[in-house]
Amino acid sequence: MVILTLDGKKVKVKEGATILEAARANGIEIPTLCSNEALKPYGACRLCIVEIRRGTSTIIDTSCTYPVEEGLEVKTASPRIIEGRKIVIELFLARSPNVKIIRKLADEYGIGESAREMGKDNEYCILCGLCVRACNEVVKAGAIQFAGKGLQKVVDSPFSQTAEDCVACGSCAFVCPTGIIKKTDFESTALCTPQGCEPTGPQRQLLNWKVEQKLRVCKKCGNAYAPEPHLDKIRQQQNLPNEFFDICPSCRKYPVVDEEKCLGCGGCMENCPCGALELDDKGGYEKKAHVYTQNCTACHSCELICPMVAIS
Amino acid sequence: MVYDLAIVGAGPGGLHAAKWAAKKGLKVILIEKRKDVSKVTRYCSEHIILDEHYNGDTIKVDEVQGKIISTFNGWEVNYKGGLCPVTDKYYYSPTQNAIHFAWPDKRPFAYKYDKGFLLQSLLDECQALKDFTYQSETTAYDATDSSQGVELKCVSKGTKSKIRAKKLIIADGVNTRVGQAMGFNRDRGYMGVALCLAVYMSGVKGYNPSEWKGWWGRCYGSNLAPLMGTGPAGHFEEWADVIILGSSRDPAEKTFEFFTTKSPLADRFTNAKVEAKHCCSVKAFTPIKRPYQGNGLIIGDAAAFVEVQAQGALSCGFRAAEAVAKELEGKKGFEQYTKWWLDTFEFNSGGMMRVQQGYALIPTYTDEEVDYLFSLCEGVTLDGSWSQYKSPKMIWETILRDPEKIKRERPTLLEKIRTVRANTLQESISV
Repeated sequence: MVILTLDGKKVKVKEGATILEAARANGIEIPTLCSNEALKPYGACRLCIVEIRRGTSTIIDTSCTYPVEEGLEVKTASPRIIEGRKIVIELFLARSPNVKIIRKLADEYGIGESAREMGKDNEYCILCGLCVRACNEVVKAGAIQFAGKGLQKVVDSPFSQTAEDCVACGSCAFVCPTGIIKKTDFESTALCTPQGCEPTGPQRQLLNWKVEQKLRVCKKCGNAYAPEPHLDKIRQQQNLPNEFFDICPSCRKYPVVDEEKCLGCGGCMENCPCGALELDDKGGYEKKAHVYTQNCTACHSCELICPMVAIS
Repeated sequence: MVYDLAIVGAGPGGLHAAKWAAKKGLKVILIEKRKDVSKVTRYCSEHIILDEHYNGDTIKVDEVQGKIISTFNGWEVNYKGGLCPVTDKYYYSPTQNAIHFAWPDKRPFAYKYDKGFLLQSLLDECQALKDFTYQSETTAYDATDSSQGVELKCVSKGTKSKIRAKKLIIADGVNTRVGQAMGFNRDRGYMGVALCLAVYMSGVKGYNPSEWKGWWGRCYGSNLAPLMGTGPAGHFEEWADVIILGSSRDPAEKTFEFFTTKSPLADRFTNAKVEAKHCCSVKAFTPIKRPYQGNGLIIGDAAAFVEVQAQGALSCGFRAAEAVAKELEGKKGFEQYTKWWLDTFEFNSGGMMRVQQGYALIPTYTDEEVDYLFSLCEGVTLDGSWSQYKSPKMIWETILRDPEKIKRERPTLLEKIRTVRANTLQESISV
């Protein structure tokens, strides 16, 4: 454990944590735009700056990237810091005056209009990089990245073409603080040619990356619930059986064996990927399948194989 | 403790491999999901097939000494359980035109045996050996291979455990869980799930324990012929074994009900009583061409396309034990096994898939056409054969021995036969 001073209060923090994490754990609010617990610190938005006194010198640095040290004295809202944050917000406001979250911050810090000039005056993307990092670090798809430099810097699919590695999971749209990444699910789509229209089933569209992907339809309830390539990717990463995603999470239940119908052939246990099914020997031919739910992932592969339709 | 060899599945293949490996002085562990191997709960027709050079071997049954002997692979298994000779095989069309298989001297071409008894006596032999460890009621569900050996993940009554061994023999049958987990099924063609229901019935009219019968026609309730054979050991004379094949679209139980109450044969079952039921579900894959990976060897039904039967499994186990012993000495035992595997089993040669297609009569041909085709075989007795490769070949050779006659009587049918027979089994199934 490390002891440091946060806004005049001595606090104990786990080693390896950042100042931002330490502050949040102790109920001190620091505004951020580019940080997310699931992602590595990045330090892009500069909103989380704090004043750090280390020995005899004082510096200003981003709290999200600064690891805690014994004896640090940190001020999260000193006049110097407030002044600095105001400049950052004014710069954001100049670039993206119509983004809600920026407007809200500006109101909080009492900034009416930005007097600064950014070369761009109605940009929605604030280049926080959350989408790119989520795609690389969490989804591990690496479908989108930054392109260009300086004023031309944007987030884009490779060569502005359809992002081929995109699994249409929608994580980018979920993490985007400005809402500029649009994810749309269509219940039914059709491909229309002069010869006529051919239905193509439910699809997800991510306009920013020019991606359209089919949605998997649950075999039980018939609802479209997640994009096909995303499910396939998870299945491969986790080494799950082919049938695992045939059924949507809300329909997924632990299997129940009807002992009246079960003849104890063992086909279900031979197909169970997690060893959750075993035979209960009740003497003679009386063997019945038994589900050990602690090992079961509710993938329903046993249900699909049972010759006596005894598992549901 | 690290074993020399872990074997998954105490079927004929696994037990035979365990026996020979333990005899060679290897430290063997055998893992079986059932409590008692003598109680066979998953259905198996349980026949020893005497066809010459069937699956690369000719099997002899010595009833007096109680032995099953392989003439080519050179093993012998003690078996003192019940035996019932099968001397006749009939395939019927909807109007009872029959194709008859039998030897002129009525010598048997197959024996119904008691699989549970065979497995129990093999297990007893194994347990008498000192380097043999047996773990029943344990299901192996996953395995990882590394240069040090194989780590097998097992579960017993909900509790997970691990077993380490230098080599692994996968003999867990046609649905091969461990084979799937180790990636043996990756390159195999998948043909779907076959579901099978077998009902032992007493009081069936016209039941003869030395006969095997099959009925082809939509009127019997299924695209796959319902079959009737010898009942289980101990009840050879009284119980008939009625076998219904089904699929997820055609549940076997419904077909069974239709077959025994509404089909043209319903009157045979008016006084019949259901004594016991067995079932199984089988994932059909094309055979594995290279049955080893790293330290794992996959044998028997687990690597096969159709059943290798007990005799094939026994041969596999025998050869696999040899292969593992050689591998542990640093020689290329697995490659030798692969060569034997490819040479021995008929299904490994592509042509056999085409031959087996001959069984796909329904719904390719209408009931009326099947009647006509079977009538062409009237009065001919084909050689006594159980082989699934030889039988359809013989049937079609007999049907087509006089194509001029068919051309005269049914010109369109002959054309149909020619196009259908150009398909492989895989294509016929997918239709």
